[in-house]
Amino acid sequence: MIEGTPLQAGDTVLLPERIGDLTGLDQFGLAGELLATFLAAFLVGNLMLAMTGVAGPWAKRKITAAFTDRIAVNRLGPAGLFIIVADAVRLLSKELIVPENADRPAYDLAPIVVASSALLGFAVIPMGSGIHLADPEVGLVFTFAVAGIASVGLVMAGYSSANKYSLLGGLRAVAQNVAYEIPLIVTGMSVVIFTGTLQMSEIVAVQNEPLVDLGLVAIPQWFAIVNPFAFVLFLVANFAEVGRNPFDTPEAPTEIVAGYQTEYSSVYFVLIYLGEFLHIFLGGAIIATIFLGGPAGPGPEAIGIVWFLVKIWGVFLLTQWLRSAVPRVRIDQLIEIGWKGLLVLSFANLVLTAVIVGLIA
Amino acid sequence: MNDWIAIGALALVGLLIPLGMMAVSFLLRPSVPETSKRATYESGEVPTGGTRIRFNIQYYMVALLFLVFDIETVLLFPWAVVYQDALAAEEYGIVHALGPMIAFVVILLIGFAWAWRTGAVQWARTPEQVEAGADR
Repeated sequence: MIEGTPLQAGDTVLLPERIGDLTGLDQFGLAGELLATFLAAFLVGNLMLAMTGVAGPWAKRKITAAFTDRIAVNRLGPAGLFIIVADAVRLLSKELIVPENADRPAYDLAPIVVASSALLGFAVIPMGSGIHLADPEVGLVFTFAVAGIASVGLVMAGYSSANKYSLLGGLRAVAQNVAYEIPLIVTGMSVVIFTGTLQMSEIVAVQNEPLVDLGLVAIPQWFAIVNPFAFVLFLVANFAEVGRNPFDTPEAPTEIVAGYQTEYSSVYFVLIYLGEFLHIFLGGAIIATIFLGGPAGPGPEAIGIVWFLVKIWGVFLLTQWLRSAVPRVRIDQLIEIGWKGLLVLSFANLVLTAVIVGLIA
Repeated sequence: MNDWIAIGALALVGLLIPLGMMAVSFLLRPSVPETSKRATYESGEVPTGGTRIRFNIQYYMVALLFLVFDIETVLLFPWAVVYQDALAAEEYGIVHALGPMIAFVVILLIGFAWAWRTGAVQWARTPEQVEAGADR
């Protein structure tokens, strides 16, 4: 499957170098390279910001409306798309109401922690068409580590709001994140057994080798096809990790108002909401990268970004489908599904994968 | 350019975007202070008592359990990375490459089974347990 010789960092041309080449910034020595790197980061950051901008105010409403047989945003612009601009202005110009007992520095920091930790995870994701910011050898572990920071932001938000709903929501969020992080990472590990590396570009490259050649079409060695059991486990753990139905207990609007974001208004609300959507997309990006061949797809390599976006939007659509179709589990059920179900299954998957790979080799 | 500089650049962008949005909002938003507007939200009722309340001990139990398992994943990742190479190498067979990991996971699962039996991952007691007076 994979032959020794791990790729050296720098074998693939990353986005900062590309931008340096295109703009001629690389002639200006270190300062030029730094500027090119910053531009690349700015591009990636704003690409994901645009995704959430489309998803939050527009796509989410449209999808929910389609599921519940209603009409959603359709007044501004084609298919109501300009609602994105209108909503951005509306939300940012809301009055900021800080609850009187709020624990101030933590209350203000929490939205920033939630939003920026999610954005940081995209640094190592290969998005195709040369959009790949960095490719360190620890890529996969880095994304898991960074995605985990959000739990800190959520418990900060929950505790510092000085609100009982927020406190319960924050605690639930942490209990849920720690319960499902283990199955998520252990299932991710079963993929690493196949690849023998944590570097994202390598993980994608391994998956592009054909699994079965059918003459006209070759079925690629995507790990969702090689190990569908791991794929399903990862998908479920991921929904819990980003707190979407059926695992949206931390927010549970019918039980604890809005959980940790109850006391947040104006721009703080936008940032927490943004962070959540970025997390859904980050989860989708990890799934796409380690199970669905990353930016791979039919057609020339230059349209890789299109396939990548199709895959992460597919995961987003799935979350919205579940939101409309699946009831929420109770907090005790949630913990028991996580610890007694998914954890045991993910270890079974890891050991079985290791044994089967060992026997084949 | 080093990978970690690019990651640092995205961290900077990730900070600048929220801060920029907060700055824009600061310029746009009104401020209309009113009495009891800032009161803690308790579904429209007058807030009662503090919020530093006691909460279920189970939140603490699962966090402790998580620590053990999270360290375990850190220990297993290097094994997963070298596993295929170890299989391919002449001097180690499947027993040597796989055995220690299986032993490690089995020890971990014995500990987990104990935690399961003592009810560390159980949120609520079943009616039978309540009747028997079981201590979770």
